[in-house]
Amino acid sequence: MAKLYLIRRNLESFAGPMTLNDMRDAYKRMAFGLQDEVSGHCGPWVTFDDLPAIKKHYPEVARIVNDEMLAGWGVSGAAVRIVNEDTKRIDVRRQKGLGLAITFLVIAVVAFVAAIYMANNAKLSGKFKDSREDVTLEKLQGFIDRNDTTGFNAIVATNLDQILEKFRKGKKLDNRWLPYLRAYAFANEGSIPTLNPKILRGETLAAAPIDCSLKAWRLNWRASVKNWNEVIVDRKMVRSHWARLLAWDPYWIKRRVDRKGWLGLNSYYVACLIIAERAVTELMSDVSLVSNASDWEKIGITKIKQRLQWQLDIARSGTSSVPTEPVEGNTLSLWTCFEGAKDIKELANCRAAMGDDQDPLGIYNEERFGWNIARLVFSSRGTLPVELQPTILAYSLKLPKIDFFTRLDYRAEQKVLKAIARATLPIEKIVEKQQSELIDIRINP
Amino acid sequence: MQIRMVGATDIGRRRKTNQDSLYYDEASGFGVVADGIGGRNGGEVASSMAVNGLRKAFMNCEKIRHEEVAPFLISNIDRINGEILERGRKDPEVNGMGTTLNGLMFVGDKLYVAHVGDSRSYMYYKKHLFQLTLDHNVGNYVERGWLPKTAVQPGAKEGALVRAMGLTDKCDVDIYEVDLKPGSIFITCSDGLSGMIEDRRLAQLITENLDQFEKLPKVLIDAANANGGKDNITVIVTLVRG
Repeated sequence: MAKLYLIRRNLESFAGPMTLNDMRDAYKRMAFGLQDEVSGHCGPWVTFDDLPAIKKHYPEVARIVNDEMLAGWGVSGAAVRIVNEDTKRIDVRRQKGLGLAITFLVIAVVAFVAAIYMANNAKLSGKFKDSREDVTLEKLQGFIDRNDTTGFNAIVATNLDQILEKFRKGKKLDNRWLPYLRAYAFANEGSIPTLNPKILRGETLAAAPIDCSLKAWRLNWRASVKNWNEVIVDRKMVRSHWARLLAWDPYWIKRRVDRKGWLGLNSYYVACLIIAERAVTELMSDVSLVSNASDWEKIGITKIKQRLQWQLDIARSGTSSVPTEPVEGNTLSLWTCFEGAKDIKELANCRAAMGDDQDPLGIYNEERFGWNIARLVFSSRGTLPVELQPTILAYSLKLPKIDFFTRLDYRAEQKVLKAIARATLPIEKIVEKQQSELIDIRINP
Repeated sequence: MQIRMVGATDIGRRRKTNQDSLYYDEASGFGVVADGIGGRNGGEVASSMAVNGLRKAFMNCEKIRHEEVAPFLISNIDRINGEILERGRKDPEVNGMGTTLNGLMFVGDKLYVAHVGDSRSYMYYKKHLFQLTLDHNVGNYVERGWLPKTAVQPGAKEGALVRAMGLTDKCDVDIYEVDLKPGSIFITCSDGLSGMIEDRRLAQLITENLDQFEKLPKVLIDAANANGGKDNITVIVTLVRG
């Protein structure tokens, strides 16, 4: 009987059990990605991108990982050696051929190294030599301080191996290098070959996908094209990273800033939005997915792009020039409408347009309405108007601590809202007091 | 898809009380296993509150669509978590109690598994066994980089729970979605079973007893007891038919 494997996607759903051949096909169909995990009979779960672990536990899967999944990541196809049970007796003629190939390879490598050495010594290119010099944290910070993105990307690209070596020095990772690696990764492909996406992401972000690389988002968007309108028009709450990302509350993200760990990016959420938006933009130039340009509009890509741009703008600066769209029949526009409301009246207008469906999305939208009331209340001054008190008290009690769809944690916001609902002091005083108890969250960013 | 569901619980050989709780209903495609933690009667109370709380919520729910399952499970487990905490605060006898939970909901051609703690769900298919759920313990969290080693107290056991109901205000529950295949068997159990029988032995026992499916819970419990029965043992076995 053929060996079977089960694939666990995003710690949420499964594909399989399937044979190796089925696994290869499933990958081509984009049924799973590098960041997902595989398990064999009674075996451990191993992520596909953890090649050493794959080789250790499932050597027969390593060929697929190497040939299919890591192709295009700059990983050599010869890195994995698979021993086929049927070909244990090695052909002597093949061995001779292999020996010759290795000899030529060694000669080529020696010649290449010698050429570089000579080029350096002969000072053929001063610029080339400069870019290979010792990279320090101070030097990288200098580029950031000068806002020299081009210079920063160039020096990291040229010296990536050296930086990674310094980052991995010793048993423990030297996390001082991590913000720079992140800045470089998310200015480019959203990933660094040989570096696990979990390291780039960090440890405590349960609500964000593990892998926010351009490659992962290309897969996410392409695999979900047919489902976009289910979310935008058909009121379905699709439990996938792409749908959840579109639901991310940009003000929630803006309130959470880790400047030290993320430099100008502010947080992993912003980094993910940047890459997701880039992948959508890229997708719009792929004519193979649609029969003519007008089809893009039908499948909803413009709405998705606008939503992502809005989220990015708000999360980064608090303002956006993305035009508003009619709310009716467009879930993304409704969320943007809530988030764009400048006062309670505008917010109420958005709500009036959303209808009164009591399906899961209707209930969820009611919660999002509540969090946007909270946002407006947080930034207001003076005592809470009497007519608003019952509403604020009700929402402070009924809004959940965790957004069940995006899994964003609203406990801090809930605590502030409760304090405002129960106190008679001016709101700014209450916010100031609550803010003093928070470390990484700014109530009014 | 049609399912057959059988289950059983046993005190084991070492414990004086059974702090596991169990409920299953084949007709509705619903089952819950909970393994209580906490001294005296605390664990028993917590696991019973978890199982009964989820059972009642399920009974009150007339029809459920796929997209409603996860919100239903998350909101009810969060509510029950709050009730367990509240009861612990009010009653010193059960203060600090908690429980694991593994809940199964078969909806159409899918199975949804709600999981907190280290009770497990497995899938058995064509002599292959796969552990579906990830134990929420220190060992797994450190290995996956979700918990810095520096945050682990010296002497803490790898199997110590990081997540369970009744531990904190926030109860983060994993929801897994599984496409059903005819012939697959799902085993949901407390660690009294998974801790006493190696996975390969578990797969072997299922293979050997496929023709007497109804007796599988007893076969598995007997095997756990034969290996020492150090903890309470609870198991639900579900067979998916075409």
